Amino acid sequence: MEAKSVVYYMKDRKVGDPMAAEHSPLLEISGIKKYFDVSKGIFKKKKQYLKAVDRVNLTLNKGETVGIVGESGCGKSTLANIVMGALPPDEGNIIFDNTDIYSLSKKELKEKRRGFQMVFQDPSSSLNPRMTVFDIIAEPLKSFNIVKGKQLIEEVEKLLSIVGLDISYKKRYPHEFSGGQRQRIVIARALALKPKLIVCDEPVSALDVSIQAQILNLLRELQDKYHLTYLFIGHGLPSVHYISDRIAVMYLGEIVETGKKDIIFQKPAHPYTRALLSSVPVPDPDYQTEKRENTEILGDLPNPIDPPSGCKFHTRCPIAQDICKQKPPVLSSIRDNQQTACHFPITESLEEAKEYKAFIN
Amino acid sequence: MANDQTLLEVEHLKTHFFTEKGVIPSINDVSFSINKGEIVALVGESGSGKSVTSMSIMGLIESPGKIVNGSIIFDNQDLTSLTHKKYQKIRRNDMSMVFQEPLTALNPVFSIGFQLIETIKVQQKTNKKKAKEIAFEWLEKVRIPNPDKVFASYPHELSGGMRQRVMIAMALSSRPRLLIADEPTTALDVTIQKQILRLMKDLTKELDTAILFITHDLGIVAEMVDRVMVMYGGEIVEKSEVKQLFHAPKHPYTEGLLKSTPKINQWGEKLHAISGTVPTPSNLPKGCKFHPRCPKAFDRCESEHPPLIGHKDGSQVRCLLYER
Ligand SMILES: Nc1ncnc2c1ncn2[C@@H]1O[C@H](COP(=O)(O)OP(=O)(O)O)[C@@H](O)[C@H]1O
Ligand SMILES: Nc1ncnc2c1ncn2[C@@H]1O[C@H](COP(=O)(O)OP(=O)(O)O)[C@@H](O)[C@H]1O
Ligand code: SF4
Ligand code: SF4
Ligand SMILES: [Mg+2]
Ligand SMILES: [Mg+2]
Repeated sequence: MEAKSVVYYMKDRKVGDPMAAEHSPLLEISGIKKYFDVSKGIFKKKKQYLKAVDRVNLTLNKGETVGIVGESGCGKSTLANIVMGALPPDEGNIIFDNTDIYSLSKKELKEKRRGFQMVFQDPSSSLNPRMTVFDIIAEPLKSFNIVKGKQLIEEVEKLLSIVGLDISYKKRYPHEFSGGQRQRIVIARALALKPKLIVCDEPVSALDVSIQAQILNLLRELQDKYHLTYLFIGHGLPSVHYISDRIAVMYLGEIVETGKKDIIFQKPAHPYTRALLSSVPVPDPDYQTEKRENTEILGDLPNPIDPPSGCKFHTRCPIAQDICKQKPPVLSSIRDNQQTACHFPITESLEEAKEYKAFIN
Repeated sequence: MANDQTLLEVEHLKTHFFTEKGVIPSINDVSFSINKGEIVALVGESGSGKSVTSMSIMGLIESPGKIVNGSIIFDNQDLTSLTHKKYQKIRRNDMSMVFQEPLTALNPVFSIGFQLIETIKVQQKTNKKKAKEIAFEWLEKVRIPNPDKVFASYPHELSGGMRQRVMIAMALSSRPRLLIADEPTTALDVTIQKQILRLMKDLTKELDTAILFITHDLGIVAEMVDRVMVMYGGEIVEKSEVKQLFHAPKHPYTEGLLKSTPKINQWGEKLHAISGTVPTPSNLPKGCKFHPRCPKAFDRCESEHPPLIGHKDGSQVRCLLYER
């Protein structure tokens, strides 16, 4: 009655070849800004803004997975909501399938939204507890009048089996399922309209380790089968690493580094990316401190309402210089397939850095 | 088993909850020991019984929960037979706890400083002035950069990381011999988690405090601890030295857990999910509790409950494959 465990090999992946896909962008996030007005007091004399997303550019090509990582509050969910057409940005455009989605009328947007769906962290909050699994999955099919009657039942059953759920589950209610099964229901509903893009906002963060792997494998299997494109927001670097072709690292509303997955994980040039990578606990007792670059960053995340001047990371950056406090660095090319926003990008790979450390010891 | 290095010895511990809907057998026959100054991990997925184990040791199981069997020997006395008052004294002086969400343990209406002083006054039977001195000493020890400001703040004004530092200060200021840390960094971002883990390691080493570290993160296990106990369905299914566990996991569940954890230092590695769902105590299968999900299950697994079997390398595993 359960989904079988599925094994994948990264090497065999055909999707997400950036060279092949470069010419066919599916989603273009360009110049997105979203500032929340957080002024206090009745007269709001002094306007205060929280720059939740600041000048973000990101392109997703057909069939690839772009992962977004960054600590809580860095603007990942805000960006996801903007992409979904649910939160108009202050500036910038979301171009999906050659259409600026915020130029559409409500009706047009609804039609366009068939092409992009969302999966959230907490499946319980996105499932109506009073609806059966059948009604939940059938809802989008009915609302777009896609199939009826017997065909509708068949379609729902097909969707259930695609996500690895028993078709007999259709009569049950969400509370009868575990977190992982609920996430499967959410994914089945998201697939109902045959979307091209799925925005996943921390889809496995709330799940147990053994179940996370099931869902990550399911997402990859579905991607290969249906040529889906994913914007995958993750909290944990390991899961983002596993599923993504390209990665964007965010800090306080900005992308500070972006590039192909292998490069970001082997040759991170931004001190924040390096700090994130060296903070992830690695389940391998032989891969500990001496062998590992050990950039510990100090302090807390700054207050986003009053972020540091210049480079927003300068208060925690181990190699900050005077210029970092004054001049904000811009995202620029470091090497092929890698862009970094830093005045002093680090060029040695993590491998080289480890050797260097071993040498000085 | 116990020797003069043993600090805590839990034997055959069984804690159940007697609810209106029936008995929930949260933990069954849990046995382990912790030596002085040692860091031991209890790993397992949600509902496996980690928190119930720790609350049982702390004497904090409340009705309808009850320890129905077993002993908890701490410092040569059985805690399960202690009076409420004596237990309180032990919690004040000898063992303390930090939780995943410090907000549940801090009082929202009092300042951090007030709560620190009150804790220290009771712990160390000292006056307010001296308690304040000790409080500041500890705010510094837990590397809080602006102790004056934090002292005057209320819990909700602090970041998650700062709150956890305050909790660690409160938990360690009595110089306890055992610290139970129940997922202390699960709610924190990785860069902050790293700071907190290092802090806990440094301070407990300095104080020679042992830690029972509860987590679901195998990465933390690899980085923090000496020995590991893996829990599944209210039981310990494997006990091992940390290196042994990662190099040669014995229980099929441990093996599956390791294989389903994505690793950033391994390229092109396959991720192998464990099929099925995590069981809850009210629907535990008969026989080996892992058998519906176990790729190596055979006929006897459905009906026979495996005991913890000692292995020649010193580890123990609850699996019929290891019978001799
Ligand atoms: N509606 C809102 N009003 C004011 N601030 C908001 C609102 N939504 C989000 N924020 C703030 O914007 C920042 C980014 O939030 P979010 O996108 O949820 O971050 P993430 O998903 O990366 O954790 C945070 O500082 C958050 O507090
Ligand atoms: N107060 C309680 N009443 C009823 N059941 C409880 C109570 N506390 C814990 N349990 C049950 O005991 C099991 C083990 O819980 P717990 O020890 O909290 O698991 P975890 O390993 O996630 O910490 C859970 O299935 C939970 O439902
Ligand atoms: S610009 Fe300066 S402060 Fe910012 S990350 Fe680079 S070196 Fe650090
Ligand atoms: S006893 Fe049987 S079902 Fe249980 S872990 Fe061992 S092989 Fe698997
Ligand atoms: Mg979010
Ligand atoms: Mg728990």
